[in-house]
Amino acid sequence: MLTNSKALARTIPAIRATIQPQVRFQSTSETVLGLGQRLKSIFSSEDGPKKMPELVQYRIFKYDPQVDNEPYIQSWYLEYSKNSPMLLDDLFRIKNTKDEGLAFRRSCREGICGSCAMNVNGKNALACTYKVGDHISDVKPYISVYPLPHMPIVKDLAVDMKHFYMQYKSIDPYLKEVNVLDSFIKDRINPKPGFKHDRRLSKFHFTLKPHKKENLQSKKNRALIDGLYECILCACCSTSCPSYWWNRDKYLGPAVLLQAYRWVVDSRDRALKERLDYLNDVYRLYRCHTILNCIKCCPKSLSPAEAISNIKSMISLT
Amino acid sequence: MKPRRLSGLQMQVLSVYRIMLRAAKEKQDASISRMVRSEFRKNSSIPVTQHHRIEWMLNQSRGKLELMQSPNCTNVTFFGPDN
Repeated sequence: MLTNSKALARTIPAIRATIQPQVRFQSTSETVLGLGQRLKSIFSSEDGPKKMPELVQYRIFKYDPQVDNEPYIQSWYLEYSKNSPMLLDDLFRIKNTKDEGLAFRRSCREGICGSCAMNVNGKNALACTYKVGDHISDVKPYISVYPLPHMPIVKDLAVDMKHFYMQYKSIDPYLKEVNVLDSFIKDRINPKPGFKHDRRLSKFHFTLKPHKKENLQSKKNRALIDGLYECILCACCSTSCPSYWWNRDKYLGPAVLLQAYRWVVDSRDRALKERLDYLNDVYRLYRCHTILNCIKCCPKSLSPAEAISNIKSMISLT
Repeated sequence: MKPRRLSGLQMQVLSVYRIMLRAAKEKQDASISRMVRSEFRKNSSIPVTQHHRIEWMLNQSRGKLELMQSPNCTNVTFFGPDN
């Protein structure tokens, strides 16, 4: 597999062309929403609007390892308010009025930074885009908030994301102009002190010229990274994946693999072989067993599982 | 006498301790290894049932270890509830 780099270079455009937007995995959240709206339209004429509880109970995971011996659940009651619809607002209300020591991460409050990812009512979500009103009712007036599952806790809802970010770093998330071979040649042609100049390699010089103009991309090629570049690395998908829970040290996880695919499929990138070689590993890629939890919980409605299956098919094509 | 059978967590702690001492030896300052030893001794009184706390400390110490292993690092301090 992946031996003859020249032959591969010829087939790259063909491979990229085969990765047209295929049949998309359907995100279930849309269908559920549609059903809910339909039900609403049926019942709203008779029952009126949905009955809301006056008080909402927030069951929040608390653990400060420097003080507490064991983690515990702290519950707070807040009045349901239409003016602060998102969970993040309520967490702030709790932090401001009831529990000053509550620790959680947040930054943009509009679902674009991915800091406030947490496990809400058993599903990973961003607190800033989680509408409390949609998830409580008269019969179920509570919301339970936990940190992301299977991540080392720093304090309360803040988890240690270091390993996740290191994995992201390992896939080289940037455009590679020249691949490893090119940089090897570069050292020979423009020798650093101590390296010997090698004339035989100077015919490769054309590959080393930097782009004089912009690195352009056709509209068709640009369309390939739609649905991939939007990922905000909130780690909702990775931490909802059972396979990632058990093999966190070796398996890259859906979020990182989605990003890896984003760089693999980018037409401006020149290190396709190198990237696929890195991913072609029993653990890094093939621990994905298409459990599809990643699709279910992605706050940006992306489909990491589709990207992973595309990587798999690309590797089998080359 | 048979050696005591250690739990997985205990073995992890011991391995981090060992690597940390080795990393401390590399440094010029001899007080670092003394500090590492006293820190582990101090926290050895945490009961084994508090595995959440031990895991948290293990995670923290791994971060510290990475710092110590970098050649630019000259000294390390520990922050804990008792300091």
